[in-house]
Amino acid sequence: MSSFAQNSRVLESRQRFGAERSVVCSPDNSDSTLQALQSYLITGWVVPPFHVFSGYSRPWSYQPPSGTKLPVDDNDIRSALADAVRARLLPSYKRIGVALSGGLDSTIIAALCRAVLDRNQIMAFTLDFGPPWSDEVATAREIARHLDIPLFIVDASPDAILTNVNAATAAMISPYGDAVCVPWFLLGKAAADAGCTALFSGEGGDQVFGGWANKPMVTELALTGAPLESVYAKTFHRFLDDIPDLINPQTLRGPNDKPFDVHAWIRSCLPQERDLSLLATLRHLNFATKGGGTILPRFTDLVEAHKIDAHAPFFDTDLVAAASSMPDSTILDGATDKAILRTLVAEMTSPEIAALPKRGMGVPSTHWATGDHALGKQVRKVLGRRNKHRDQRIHQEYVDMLMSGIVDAPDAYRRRRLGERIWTLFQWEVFREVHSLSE
Amino acid sequence: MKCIHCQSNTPNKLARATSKCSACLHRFAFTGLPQMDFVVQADHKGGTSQQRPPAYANHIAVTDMLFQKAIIAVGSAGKYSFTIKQLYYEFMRRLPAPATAGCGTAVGIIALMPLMLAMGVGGAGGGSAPAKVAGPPMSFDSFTHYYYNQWRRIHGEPEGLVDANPNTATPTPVLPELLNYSFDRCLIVDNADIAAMLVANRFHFENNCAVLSADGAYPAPDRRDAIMTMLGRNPDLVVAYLHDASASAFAAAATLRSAEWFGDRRIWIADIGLSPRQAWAQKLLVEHGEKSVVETRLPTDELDWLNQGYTCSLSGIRPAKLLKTAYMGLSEASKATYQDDWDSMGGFFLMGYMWSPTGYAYHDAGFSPWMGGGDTAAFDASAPDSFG
Repeated sequence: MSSFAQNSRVLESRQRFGAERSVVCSPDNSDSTLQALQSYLITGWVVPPFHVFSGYSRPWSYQPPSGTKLPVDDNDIRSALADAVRARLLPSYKRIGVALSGGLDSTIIAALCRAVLDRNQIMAFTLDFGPPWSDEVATAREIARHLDIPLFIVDASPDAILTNVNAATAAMISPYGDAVCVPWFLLGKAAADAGCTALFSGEGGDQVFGGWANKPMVTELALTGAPLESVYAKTFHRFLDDIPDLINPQTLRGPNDKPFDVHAWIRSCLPQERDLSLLATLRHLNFATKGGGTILPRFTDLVEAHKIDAHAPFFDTDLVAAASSMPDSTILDGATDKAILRTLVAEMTSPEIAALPKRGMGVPSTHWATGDHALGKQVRKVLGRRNKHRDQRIHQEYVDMLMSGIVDAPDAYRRRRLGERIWTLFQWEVFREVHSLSE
Repeated sequence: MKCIHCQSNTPNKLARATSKCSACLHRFAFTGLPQMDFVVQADHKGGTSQQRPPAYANHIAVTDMLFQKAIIAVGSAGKYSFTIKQLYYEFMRRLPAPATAGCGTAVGIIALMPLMLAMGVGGAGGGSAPAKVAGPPMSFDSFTHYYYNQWRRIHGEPEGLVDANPNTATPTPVLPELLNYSFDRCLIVDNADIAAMLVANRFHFENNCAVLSADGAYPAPDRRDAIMTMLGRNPDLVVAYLHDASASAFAAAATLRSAEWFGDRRIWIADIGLSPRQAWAQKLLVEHGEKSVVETRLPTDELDWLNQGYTCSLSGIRPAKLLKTAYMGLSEASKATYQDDWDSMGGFFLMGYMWSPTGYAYHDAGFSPWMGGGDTAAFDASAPDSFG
């Protein structure tokens, strides 16, 4: 078990985080309910109130703030963004790091930090996943050069991931199935090693300003008119339709073995206000589910494991409130997402920088999970039949078929979906092993 | 005879006498005999006389297991939704082919080779028109009447079957605010049931892609109007047209340039439809219809083949393969740089239905005016894993 989980402790909330943090973590780790596993397999994290540690209360309880109901324009957003960053730049920080993926969100955070810091007070860090996934390094380099911030390239090759996966998992207080976890751990480590006392990131930008994740939902609603909860459930891209195949039937006999109802859970996360627009509703859902459930806690766990502070200014309460009052057209205009952020990047950097292709950092999870390298072999070993410590509630035949490519799904033609699913299973097993969890 | 419910074997004579499994008493839909016992009351042509099944039925031993295997195969064991026509072609692949005849006769090719295997051997050359062809064992109407309906009567509707008629669904109003938004891509399909199948398999969701049928039948009118409005809000819309290999499908491409679709907007349409050469190379089932005169930028031998009335349907391709190919076609269309003269091309470029990595595509052969390339990995990486 990690030192993090061994001692019960309470972590106090930090400054103006949108999510107030209060963790009670018990060393009794014998209780991992089936609903916890099911929710993890569907969403990629353990959905509260389910838990993997007995006596564990949810670390993050995020209540998305409502809009101010006052007219908000671009200047208000500029001010709110700048305030959110400034409030987190504590006087005690001698030097801070910025995770620069090359996407819009991290570019804005880097530019705002640089606006109030000298060159020797800030460093940028970007991940290099190795060819052919190194495209974003060039974009990050261009942005760092423009902002006059020294850039450090962090090795995120399969070997580096393999070396750090157990340590990263030990830093998690709950399992997170997304493949971005070890990269966050590496970024935090690089920042700490370079003498930074805090790492800033653009996490939350998609949730506040409506990133690419909103588009499939708009498409689904337009074509089918399906209920919002069923549309939203598809955005997790894990095992939504496969739970009956994935969970061993004999594990479903206990009195508490009610299946996790993902649709009911999503309905419970909907905003109380009924007159909100679709995008406002999605923003609230994004924070109440993904933002508070996995994005913010995993970023914080994995960076703060290196004894430095982790800051995601996009989660700032006032910023979210201001963004909630913006016209929807600033969030999604036709097919252009994050319209206002694109404008701000052009202002804060240059039209040339704004015109660079920006995707954010794509993690090559399929390559990690299935590639012919030591990490791929480790994944296959951990998920293989010979691993006697694997979770027996997970149907091994399904896992075997998934690994061999036999299991088909309507989105199987997108290779990244395969990697996301395998990595989710792998991370679950590694978490159980590292934290000595029983079933 | 094996029961699909309990897997027990019932002696053939007993099964034919009782039409029931001797172990679990479930009814058999088929007993390996010509389907004579149920055709009397179901004259699908409206007549009152006994409707005999096609002659081939006298020597095809169709069983419940055979039909069930077709259902399992077409839906990849329940993972994909499929149309009744896709089930028909899957079933045809499992029946013995009739004797072959010359290409000039009004018959077609039957593919006995599983599609997934065929994919690997479809050479870049793309093949040529077959010298000998064999007719399909039965028409779609006969399949529906004699086999599908009987299966449904006994075992119920197969799980995953797509209802291609959008008007049967409960209408739900389109949120007015959706009209302010748009799609990254648009896929136009020449028939409604394939469009419905793609949506049932979440193709639209994975690709931020509107899916519509060229004939206007899918989706339902109110939803279609909203989608057309939304299409107009993306000036950089990527559009692809997926269609059968048929003269009518190639001719229908011209209608996509009508005012109803994109007006005078200069939006290139990538033709990723099935071409005759690709149908030959994959040994897909071919049918024959009326001769026609259609003009396209296809090579002469393919154009001649189409104008002779031969057709090959996308429904002959399993959903898994069709989804993958449509995805790759859209990916390529998204990366394309269009350098050719708009007027002479009419806003179309001919990509062809791609059977990557070994299949024939027009741009591989240097035939297309389209410029572009690369694999789909870069496209696939465009949506990050929740990274700021």
